Amino acid sequence: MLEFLTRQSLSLILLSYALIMVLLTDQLHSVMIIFGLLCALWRVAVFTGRVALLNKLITNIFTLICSALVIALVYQQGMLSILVHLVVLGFSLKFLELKSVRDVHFFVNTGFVLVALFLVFNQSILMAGIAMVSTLLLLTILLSLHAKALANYQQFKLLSKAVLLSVPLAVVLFVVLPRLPSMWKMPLQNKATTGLSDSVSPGSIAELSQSSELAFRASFDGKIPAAATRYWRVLTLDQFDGKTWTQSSQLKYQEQQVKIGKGPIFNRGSLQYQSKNTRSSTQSVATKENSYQIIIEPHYKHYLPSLDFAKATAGRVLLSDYSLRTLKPVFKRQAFTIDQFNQVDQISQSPQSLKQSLQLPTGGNPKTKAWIATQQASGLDSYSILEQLLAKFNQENFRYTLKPALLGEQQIDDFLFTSQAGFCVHYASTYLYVARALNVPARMVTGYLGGELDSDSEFLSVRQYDAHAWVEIWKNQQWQRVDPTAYVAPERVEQGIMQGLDDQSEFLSGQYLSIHRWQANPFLNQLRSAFAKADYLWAVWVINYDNEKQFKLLQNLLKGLPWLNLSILILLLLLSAASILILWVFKPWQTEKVPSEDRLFNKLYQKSAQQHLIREKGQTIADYCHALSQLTTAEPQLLIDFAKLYNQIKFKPNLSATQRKRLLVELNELQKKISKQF
Amino acid sequence: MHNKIAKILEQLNAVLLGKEQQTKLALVCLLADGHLLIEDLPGMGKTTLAGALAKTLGLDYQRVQFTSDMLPADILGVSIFDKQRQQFSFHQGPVFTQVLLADEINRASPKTQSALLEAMEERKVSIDKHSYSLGQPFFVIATQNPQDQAGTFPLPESQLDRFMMRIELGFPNKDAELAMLKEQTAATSINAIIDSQQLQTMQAAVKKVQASDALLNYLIRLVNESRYAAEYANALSPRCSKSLLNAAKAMAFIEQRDYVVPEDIQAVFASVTDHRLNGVHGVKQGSQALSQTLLNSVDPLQS
Repeated sequence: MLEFLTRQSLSLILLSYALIMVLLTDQLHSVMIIFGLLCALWRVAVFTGRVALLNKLITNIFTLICSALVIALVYQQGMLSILVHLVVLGFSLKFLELKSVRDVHFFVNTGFVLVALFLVFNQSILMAGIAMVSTLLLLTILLSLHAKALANYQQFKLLSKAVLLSVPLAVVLFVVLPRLPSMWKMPLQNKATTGLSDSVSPGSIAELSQSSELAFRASFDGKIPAAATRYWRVLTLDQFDGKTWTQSSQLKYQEQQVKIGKGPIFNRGSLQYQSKNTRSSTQSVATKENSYQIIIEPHYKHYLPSLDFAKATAGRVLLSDYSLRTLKPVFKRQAFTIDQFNQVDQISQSPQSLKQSLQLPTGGNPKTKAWIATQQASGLDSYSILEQLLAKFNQENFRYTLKPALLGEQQIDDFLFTSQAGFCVHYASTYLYVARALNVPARMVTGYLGGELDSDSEFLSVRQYDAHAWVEIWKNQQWQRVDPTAYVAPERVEQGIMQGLDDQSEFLSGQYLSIHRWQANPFLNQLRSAFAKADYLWAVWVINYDNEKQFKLLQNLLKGLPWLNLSILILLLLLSAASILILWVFKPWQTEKVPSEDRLFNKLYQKSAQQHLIREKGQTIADYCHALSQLTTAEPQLLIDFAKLYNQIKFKPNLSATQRKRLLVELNELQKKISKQF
Repeated sequence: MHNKIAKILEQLNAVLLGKEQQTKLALVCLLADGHLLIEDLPGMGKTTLAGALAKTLGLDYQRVQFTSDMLPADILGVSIFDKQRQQFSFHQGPVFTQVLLADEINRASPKTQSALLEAMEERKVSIDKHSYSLGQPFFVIATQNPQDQAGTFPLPESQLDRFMMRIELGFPNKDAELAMLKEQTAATSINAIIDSQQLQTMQAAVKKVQASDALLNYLIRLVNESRYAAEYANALSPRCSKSLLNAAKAMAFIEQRDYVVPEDIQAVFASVTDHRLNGVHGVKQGSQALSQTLLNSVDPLQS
C-alpha cells in the first residue's frame, strides 16, 4: 500500500507520542508503556514495508479485547485512572490504523486530550510550559501533513504566527470570560499519595525529609509569623503500640466521616460534645488574628495544613484535634483562604479523647521507667520531670540526624540511653512516652515546620523536607505545644532542616540533581527563587484564577473609568469581537472604492433606470446617455455633456487634483439638473 | 490637421457612397499603422475603397491581383544574373511600395500568402541572405472574397492576426445606390489631400493619444474575457490587444480627443477582433457576432 506519511510526519508523530507518554508516566501502568512502545514499533515496521496494515475487523476485535484488559487492570484505581488508561490505549492503538489523513487528525486530537489530562495532574508553570511544547509538537504534525510544500522554516513561521495571533485572544478570554462552575466533575482516583502518612514509626519521616517536592505555599494578609511559630498542623497521632504512632479509632472515625462527605454532620456532632462536657474550657469567642492563603499541591487526601487555630467554614471541617480537613480531596493545585484565631472555638475535649491521650502499651522500656521513677523519687512533679527530660536532650550528647541507627525492641530505651541520635519523631516519641507514663495527657502532631520565604518575603514555600513532628500536652485545661526537637537542634526550628542537621551532607543526600541541595551556590539560589516566584504567581493568578479574583481584577482595571462597569465591559468586548469578525469576513479595506464620478453616474442611473432605461452590461456611459436622450424629456444636450464630462474625468490621464475637483463639481451640477428634468 | 481628416473622409465618402462607418474605420487602421483586410462579395467596391485610400493619402501604390498560380517571387522580387556585370542583381517586386493593394488575396496559394507574412510584420523582405527594408509608411490593403466562394485558400489564423482590421462593406442602401447610379457618368476625380510626410506626422500624433489606467483595465478585461470564457474558441492575442489600443487611439484622434474612452474601443472592437475570434473556419453564432457578445459581457463601468 502506498505510504501517505512522509518520513518527517512519522517522526513527528513518534516524537510527540513519546513526549506525551513520558508526561503521563506517573499516571500509567507500566504495561501500558510497553504496549505503546510495541504499537509504535509496529507502525515503524509498516513504514519500512516489513509488515502490512491489519484489516479493520481484526483491529476492532483487538481493540475491544485490549479495552477490557485495561479496565480490568486498573479498575481498582478509580474512574479517572480508567479514563486516562482508555484514552492512552486509544492513542497507542491508533498506530495500528494510521492509514489516512483522517487518522492522523484523530491521533492529534487525542494527543490534545491527553495533554489536557496531564494538566489535571500537574499545575506548575514548568509543567504548563512542557504541555505547551507538546501542543506545539502536535500542531506541527498537522502542518507537516497539510503544508508539505513549505520548507521547515516556513512551517515554523506559519506555526509561530498562528500561535502568536491566538495568544491575545486566549488572554482576553481567560481574563474576561465569566468563570462558570464546571458542569462536569472530575472523577476521583484512588492514587498512591504523597505527603505525610497517617502513621509514623521513628524512621519513616526520614524518607520524607529527603524530598524537595513542594507541599504547599502560603501568603499572609497580615504579618508573617516568625519561623519558630510556623507549626503547620496536619495530623494528630495518639495511639502507640510500642513502635508505631497511629490515629486512635476515634480520630479515624472522624477522618472516615470526612471521607464519605459527612463533614457538616460531624461538625454538629462536635457541638454535642460541648453540651455534655462540663469541663468545657473554650467557651469564650475567639478573635481573628491573621489570615493567610494556602496554595496546596495535589496530595489526593483531605489534609489541609493550618496554623493554630483554624475554624470550620463552608467546605472545610475542623476535627476535634484542631486539624483542618477539606470536604473533597485535593487532587489539583488549589487555593484556600484560612483565618487564624487566637483560640479554638466550639470544640472541647471529651473525656474519652483525654483518656486516649494517656494510652501506652503495657510493659517494655524498663530503663526509661526506671529513670522516671528516680526522678519521681527526688520529689519532682510530672511537669518538672518533663522539663528534666528536655534538659537531658539539650545537655547530653544527643544528635539531630536524618540517618539514625535502627532501634531495637525497646525503642524508647534504645534511643534515650544508647543511640541518642535521631530526628523529630524520635524525640517527640520519647517525650510522649515519658509524658504518658507520668499520666500527663499527650499526643503527637505531625505537619510541617517553617517554610522558606521568597526573596521579596511575599510568600512561603513549604516543601516535603519541612515535615516535622511535635508534641502537645494537656496542661492548664488546654493543649500546649512542646517541641522536643527544639532542645536538640534549635536551628531546625528557627532556620530549617538543613541548618538543623549536625552533618549537613545528609540533607537530600543522593539527590545531586536537586537544585535545593545546592543552596550555597548564589547563582543557582537566585535562579531557584526566581523560578519559585514565577511558579507562585502562576499558581495564584492562573491556576486559582476564580470568579472572585476575576471580579477584583476587573474592578481594579475599571477603577480609572467610572462609567465603565463589568456588564458594559463584557458588552464592549463582545461588540469589538463581533466587529473584528465582521471586518475579517468582509474585508472592507479590500473592496474597491467607488470613484466620485461613478457615484454621480449611479445617482443619475438609479432614477433613470427606474423610469426609463436599464443599461446593458456592455454599454458605455456615453452610449447609455445617448440612448437615454432619445427617451426622456430631459434636454439631450445635458445628457451628452454629462457623458463627455464623465469620460473626461474618468479617462483623461494626468488630470490635476484641482482640475478634477472642478470637473466633478460640474458633473454634480449636471447630474442634479438632469435628475430634476426626469 | 483635423480639417485634413474631415476632407479625407469627405472624399472617401464621395467615392464610396453610404459607407461612412467603413471609410472611417479604414482611415483609423491606416492612422494606427495597421494593415487592412477588406472582405466582401465581388463587386462591392473593395478595390475602389483601397485605391481611393491610397490616392487620397498621397501614397505610392502597387496593385497585385492574386491568382492561384502566383509565386512568392511575383510579390517580393527576384535575383537575376546580370550578364554584363557578371553578378546577381535583385529586381524589386511590387511589395516595394507604400501601399500594396493585394486584390483577392485568398485566391493565391498559401505559399504566396505567407510570403507576405514577413513583409507585413517586419516591414522587410529577405531574399538570398539579404534583407531589404520596405519604405515608410508601408501598408497592405488586402481584399478577399468570402471563403465559401470557389477557388479560395482561406488565410490561416497566423496571417489573419497580422491584419489590424477586417472590414466588410455590405450592400449599399437604396439612396446610396441610386446616387451611385446617377453619378456614374461624372467620374469623381481623386486628389491626394495629404502626402506621406503629413501622414507620418498624423501617425505620430495618434501615438501620443493617452490611455488612462481605467481604460487599459477595461481593455484587459475584454481581452481576458475572450481567454477565460467558454464561448470563444480563439482567444485574443497580445498583438490583438496592442492593435485594439492603437486603433482606439486613432479613433480618439479622429474624434479630436487626446485621450481614449471606452466608446473608442467599442467603435473599433468589431473590426479589430471579429476575424481573430472567428478564426479560419469560424461561423457567426446566432444573430450576434462573437465580438458583440464579448463586448456585451464586459461592463465598462467596473474598475
